[in-house]
Amino acid sequence: MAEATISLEPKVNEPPSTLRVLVAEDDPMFRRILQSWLQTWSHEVVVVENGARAWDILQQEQPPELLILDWMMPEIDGTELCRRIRAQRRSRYQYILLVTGKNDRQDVVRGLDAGADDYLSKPFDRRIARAAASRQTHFGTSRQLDSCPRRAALSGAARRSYRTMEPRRADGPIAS
Amino acid sequence: MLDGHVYWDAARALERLGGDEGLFRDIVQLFLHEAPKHLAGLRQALAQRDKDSVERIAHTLKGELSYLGVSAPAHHASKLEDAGRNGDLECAVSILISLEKDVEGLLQNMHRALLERNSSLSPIQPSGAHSNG
Repeated sequence: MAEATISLEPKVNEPPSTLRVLVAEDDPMFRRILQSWLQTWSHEVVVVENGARAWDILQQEQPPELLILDWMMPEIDGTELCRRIRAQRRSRYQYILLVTGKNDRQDVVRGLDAGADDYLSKPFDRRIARAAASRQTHFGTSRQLDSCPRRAALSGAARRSYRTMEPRRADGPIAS
Repeated sequence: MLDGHVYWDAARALERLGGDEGLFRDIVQLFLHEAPKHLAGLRQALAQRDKDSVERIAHTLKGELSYLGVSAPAHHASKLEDAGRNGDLECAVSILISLEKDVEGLLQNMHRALLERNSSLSPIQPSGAHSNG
């Protein structure tokens, strides 16, 4: 598909949606990038530099709704965090984006199997990050359904839908 | 080209950042601050024969170099990450020597590019156009 015909920016008539976002990333460069973008998109952002701090934040009564977790970070890595979060089975669904520099399909599958809803492959660009983060809003109606199989089906649908946009994602491991 | 051998596609990095020059300068400054620490960490990890740290630090450096559009040193960092993962520390030493040479040259040129850009307040040029700076 011609690049000019695809827009990954949200539609103009979409209502603005402010999310509380947790960014767990040990690299200050990527923390800075993600924080800057998310704040530009009017989200409330908490940034931490390791998995243990992220886990502390997630124990709050009302934890963030969108979690952007680096795969490789100290103390608790991104996939382990995914597993712990899903094991909690909180009533409010938390959408997880796993950030990875790993380019092997098996690694991506492991990340999704651990409970991530989607992934951002480094080096990601602004449009891809925005499209991936905006997926969280599509889960608005299913946030209370985390314990039922429908959640998995919705997640799968979201993944398939997202991947239809992947011709731009030339550096992504599942782009085809 | 930078110092005749390291290509920095700064415009590609700026494009990834959505054209935000302020953010671009911030992350270049962060890299200038962090990269020497990564190299020191790699030297220490190799001295201690700590292959896990070699893999982890090389992975971080690879990500930063890739993001900044510096492909040749990113490739060296990737090889170093593999060597750490495989425990091939003799190979890792020789890769680190090449990587250090590339990164040190890159840092000098990034410093110079930032100074020139700050003094001229000129916008980032299209891909490759400021690669001598």
